[in-house]
Amino acid sequence: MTETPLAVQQQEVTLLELVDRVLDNGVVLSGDITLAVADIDLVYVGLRALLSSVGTIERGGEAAADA
Amino acid sequence: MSELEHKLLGDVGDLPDFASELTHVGNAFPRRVNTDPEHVERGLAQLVLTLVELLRQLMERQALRRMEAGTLTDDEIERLGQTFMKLDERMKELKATFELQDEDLNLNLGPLGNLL
Amino acid sequence: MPEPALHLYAITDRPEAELPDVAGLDDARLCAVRHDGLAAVCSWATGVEATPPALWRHEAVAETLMADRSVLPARFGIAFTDEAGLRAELVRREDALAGSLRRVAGCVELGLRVLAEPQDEPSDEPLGDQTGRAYLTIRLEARRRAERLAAEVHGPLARLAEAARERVLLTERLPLSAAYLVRRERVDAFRSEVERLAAERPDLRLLCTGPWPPYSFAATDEGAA
Repeated sequence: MTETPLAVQQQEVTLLELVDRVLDNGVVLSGDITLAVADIDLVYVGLRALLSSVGTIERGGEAAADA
Repeated sequence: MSELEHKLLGDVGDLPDFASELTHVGNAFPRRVNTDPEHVERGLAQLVLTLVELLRQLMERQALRRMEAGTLTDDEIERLGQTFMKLDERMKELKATFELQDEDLNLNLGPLGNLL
Repeated sequence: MPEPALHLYAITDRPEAELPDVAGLDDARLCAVRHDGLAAVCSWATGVEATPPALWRHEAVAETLMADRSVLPARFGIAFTDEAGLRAELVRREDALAGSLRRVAGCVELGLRVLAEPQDEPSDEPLGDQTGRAYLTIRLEARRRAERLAAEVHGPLARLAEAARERVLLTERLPLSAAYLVRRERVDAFRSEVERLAAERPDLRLLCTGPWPPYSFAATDEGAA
């Protein structure tokens, strides 16, 4: 059964929304194995500690700007 | 479309436009991740440029906040603006060189969400 | 030949509840690792790849669980070589996970994207020698516009939610992207509010998606610096 163009569009947008959640969000436990598609995330995971302190830099900057 | 996929609530006009923007943000699937060992430089460029983009966005936001707060001199505003313009241009060149799109330079910052 | 791995779908409460009759990846039977008031729902699979069907299967498990228990849906792709590894993680994170489960109890996630027409850039002619200032001014005005818009749309919706995560100006055309943690009994009111806002703002396109398991509210502060 061929899908209507609207149904195809709906599927595409819904998939985009799913991907945003299931690959970038959700609870993360430190598994022994992470899937290949997330390999680039393994590199980023290493950077996360550095980058999470970026928020501190931002807030510090705000404080300075308000001074 | 299966039951599971019925997630669009309300009026759903302009789906192609939404699809285009969401792809631009990096939600597209499969992910444009280069794990091909033959093109390791592209993967490295992707990582480096993502970091540069992160810093650029942070610095620009800082500059805009200070501009709004009035704590920058006219000279500083002009020089900062010129710097960001040049950085913007250079990023475009580098992205073109390594065939990277905006959606390739995304980064998941955990609790901070995605970069782009 | 890859080894079988134990794939995680979600952390739930009510560990005593029977696992639902939904198949996991590779059509495998669901199982659970339990500890105190927590259950880590998983299944064995080999050579799993992230494909749309696999993502939807992962989602199906999380949604089925959400029907009768509180759920922290897991990111796709987390797997363990054995139950002991998963149990150890569960124990290590038990307080944070229990706290997150309490926060999402009785709630679902609703997503919002606001699409706007791209603003016409003011003339490309630089303002005399002030090109740097002009550049920053344009950026500042774009940000202000987006923040105003975000407040007009996000404000009313956030009031109907237990929690919200918003991103302003993700792209030129997406001034607002947000996820809302909404009590189940408020979902209809939330959707009505989205429709009301959409009718009020013909210059914007609002896309509301859901209900989802609370992916955007499931993370705990793992390894926070």
